[in-house]
Amino acid sequence: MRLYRHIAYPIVALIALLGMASCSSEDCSINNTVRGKMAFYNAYGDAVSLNAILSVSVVRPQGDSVVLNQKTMATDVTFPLSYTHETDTFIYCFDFNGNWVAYDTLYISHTNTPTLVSVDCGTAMFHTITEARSTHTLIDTLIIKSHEINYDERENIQVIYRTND
Amino acid sequence: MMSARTFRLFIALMISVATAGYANPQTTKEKKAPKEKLSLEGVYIAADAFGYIYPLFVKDKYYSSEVSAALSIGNRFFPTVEVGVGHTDIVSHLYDIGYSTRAPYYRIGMDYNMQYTNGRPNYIYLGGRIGYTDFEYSVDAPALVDPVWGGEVPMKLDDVPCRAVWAEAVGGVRAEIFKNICMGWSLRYKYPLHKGPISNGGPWYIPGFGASSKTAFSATYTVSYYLNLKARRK
Repeated sequence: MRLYRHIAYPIVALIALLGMASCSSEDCSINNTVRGKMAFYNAYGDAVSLNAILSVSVVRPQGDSVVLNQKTMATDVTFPLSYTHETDTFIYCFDFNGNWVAYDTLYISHTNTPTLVSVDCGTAMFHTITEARSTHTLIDTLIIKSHEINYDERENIQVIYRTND
Repeated sequence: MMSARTFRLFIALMISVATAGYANPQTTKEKKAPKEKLSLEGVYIAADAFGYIYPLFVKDKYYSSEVSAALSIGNRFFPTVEVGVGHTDIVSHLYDIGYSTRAPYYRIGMDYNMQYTNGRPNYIYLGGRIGYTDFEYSVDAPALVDPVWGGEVPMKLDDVPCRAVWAEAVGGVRAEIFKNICMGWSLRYKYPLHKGPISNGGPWYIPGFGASSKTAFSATYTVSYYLNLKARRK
């Protein structure tokens, strides 16, 4: 009886443990690409939504590519970065309902790090922003808030937008 | 690895299993151990089987083989040394990512017999460990394809060196099944203290710690031999 008890209890525990272990899982990001995030602020540091229709294109050797098409009331924008270039160029088109259109060009310099997320979640290209600058038609200043672009989805750049007030 | 809910269930199971054994009327008749000064009573030499059983039930195939030695100080304190080898050579079917490493790991720590007054070799214990490993790992994954600008970047890492230090909280049970032969199991909560240098996301599997970038749970299932030094001295 004593022998039975001492063998049976650990075996029951082992079976229970294995049963629970087999239910283990890992949470993976839905996307396997990461994007930076920039948000718009006025000169007082308050978040604003744009009073223009915003489109964003990236400049590529093989031709420009639209990454954001006619977004209204935009408060923030996510943007991709290239896997091999050191600096990417973005053209921001502010369309005021066809009355007039303004353009700004943004230059984002960055490093690229091929990253093993995990064997179960795959790989991704993470980036570190080293510099952000722009022309100043409607954009006053770019402020880097978080250099790292990864799955954390932090706000990376504050865009100080010139408003009428 | 295991969720917090599973962990609570497991702790409950651990306590119920252990206390069930001690509630047996046959065993309560045993005498309490007389109070005495703490002295070296014996040594448990153990081997872990869980490191090869666990991979049979999960998709992430990483293995470990481990031996340990624990001194019994007054059947109350158990200074413990654990040495093992952890290894994996896995290819993810979903992403076709190959990951391989093989390295020794070391743990040192102490267990405390929660039922030392019983004076018996069957007991529940709580304890802690500090673990360390110095290892190299390799990754062979498909190239990363840039979806906007085009082009691709290779993702192949060979023999990346890394060191890791972690802390473990341990809870477990040990029971004698034959004279001086014991079986036992423990559940371990692991918390990373240091990992580095980190490059390209860092290691996925760390020998002795497990496959997790954050905290991890694991278990051991040991068979041990108790060398009774106290009896030999008499």
